[in-house]
Amino acid sequence: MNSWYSSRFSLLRIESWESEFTVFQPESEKTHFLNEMGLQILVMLDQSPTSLEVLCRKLSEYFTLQPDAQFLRQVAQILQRYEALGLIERVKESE
Amino acid sequence: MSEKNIPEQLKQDAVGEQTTAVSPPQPTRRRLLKSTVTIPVIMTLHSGAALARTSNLVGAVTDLDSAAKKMNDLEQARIVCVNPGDGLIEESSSTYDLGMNPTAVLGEASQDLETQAQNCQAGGGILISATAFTSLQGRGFFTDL
Amino acid sequence: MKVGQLSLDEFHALLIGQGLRVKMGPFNLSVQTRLPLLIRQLHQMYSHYSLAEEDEIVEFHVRVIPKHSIRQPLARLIRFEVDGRSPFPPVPVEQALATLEWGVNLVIAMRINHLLLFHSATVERNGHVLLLPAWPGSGKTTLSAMLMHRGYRLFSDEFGLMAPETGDFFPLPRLMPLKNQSIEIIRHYLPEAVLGPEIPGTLKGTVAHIRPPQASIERADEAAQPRWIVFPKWVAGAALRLESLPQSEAFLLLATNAFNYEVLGEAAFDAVTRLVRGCECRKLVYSDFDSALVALDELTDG
Repeated sequence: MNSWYSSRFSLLRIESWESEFTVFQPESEKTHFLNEMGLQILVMLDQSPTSLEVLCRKLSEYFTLQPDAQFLRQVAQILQRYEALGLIERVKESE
Repeated sequence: MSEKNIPEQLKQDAVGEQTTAVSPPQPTRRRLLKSTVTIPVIMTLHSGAALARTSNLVGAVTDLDSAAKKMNDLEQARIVCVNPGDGLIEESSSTYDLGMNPTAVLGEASQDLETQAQNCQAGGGILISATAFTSLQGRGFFTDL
Repeated sequence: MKVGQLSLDEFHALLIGQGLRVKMGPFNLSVQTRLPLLIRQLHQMYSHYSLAEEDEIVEFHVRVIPKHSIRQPLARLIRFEVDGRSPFPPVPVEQALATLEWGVNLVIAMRINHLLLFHSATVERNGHVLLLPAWPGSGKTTLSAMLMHRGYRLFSDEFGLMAPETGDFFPLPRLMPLKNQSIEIIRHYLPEAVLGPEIPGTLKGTVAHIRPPQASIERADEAAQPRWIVFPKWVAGAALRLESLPQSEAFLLLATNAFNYEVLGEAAFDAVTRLVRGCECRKLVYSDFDSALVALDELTDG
């Protein structure tokens, strides 16, 4: 099973606009625009490598949601997107 | 922020892929930011958006069948070799920003199409589709060809 | 020394010789041409601009030269060149002024990367800059013309030039190309405005340039800090709305509106963040210029 980790989180420049965030990623020189949950994922993955299932559970608790299969899919999709952007990296459990 | 106010070039599927300045808006896939607190959202700003609005973006083609050509009076086909202008809008894409006033030249009618295409690309030019060529002509470009 | 202090003969000699070296806001421009029509037009339209000092560096060297076409031997065509390169296809000689002005704007948009370039009308009132960012065709030029003849100092109808380190905005008052119906609107609203010739048949239709007021050109070296950002939108028949805009939305609109946001990287991120946090951000929907001007006056009164 895969886990994800935002090893470069500390390098990001984050500006808060109420419940939205602009994030400058120095490595790619790209600016991203995230909502609160989008940022919270990065914060949670900065603390420790986390699997999709655990991440969804933590998010559900944080945002008081009832997680369902669709939610899991949506979070999985955004993890792939974050990985492609270099915001997070995949960690094999055996590592 | 309301949906209608999200800049056109940033509208996207809430958890989907990064959009580009050339993507047409897809209203049915638009999502709000604030109202979608129950799904994570990331949008990535795209470079050169302002310029793209005043420029001409076009995808390069490589196959000779779809490449734009013009016939001369002797019914010989001449490939349309387009000046890539400001170059690729992203290194990973094949979309070129031709700049505000695209220019192009025709290949040598005496050469076969493959040689014309090779010569074009060797000189830094690109081939574009017949559709893109027609579209740009409709906007007043390449009228001297 | 001002261009207008040169006789037409002296002016002509510069343009056909070493080039007319003229100050355009923070840049210097050198223009060369032998076209009599363009020389006469520039003598009138550039009369308020200052000549660059001899020891000053000129950023842009442009020429407008005749172009002979084998395909159209009778056509009188011209070509715009910058540093010996020609970014545009040839156009009829009557379009020389419009091509020169667009060419210079294009060169600024493509080459200037020490400043953050917004695609924006920019004016100053009560010592502070009002930024009006908008896409082409949004009426930036018409609105700028109205504002500058109502006591606002024109910075530019096309560019917001911002120093990323200090947040200062620099004036770049250049000729402003009114298009199609806007020409008549301005003639009606502002009979005192100085307009160049109507140039039909350009890619953008009929164009006539409006000359910035003398006071705006003479104060072109006076930078100012921004205070208001208004995203204008002209909608036929719409009632006036001047509404607050969330800062996050203003950030997105500005970052994607800038010509060179990504080129400047983190400096641009910081600059846009600081700009938005320091300004009042609004969106303006209007159909009637008078009411729009009243609303902008109220906004910038304080």
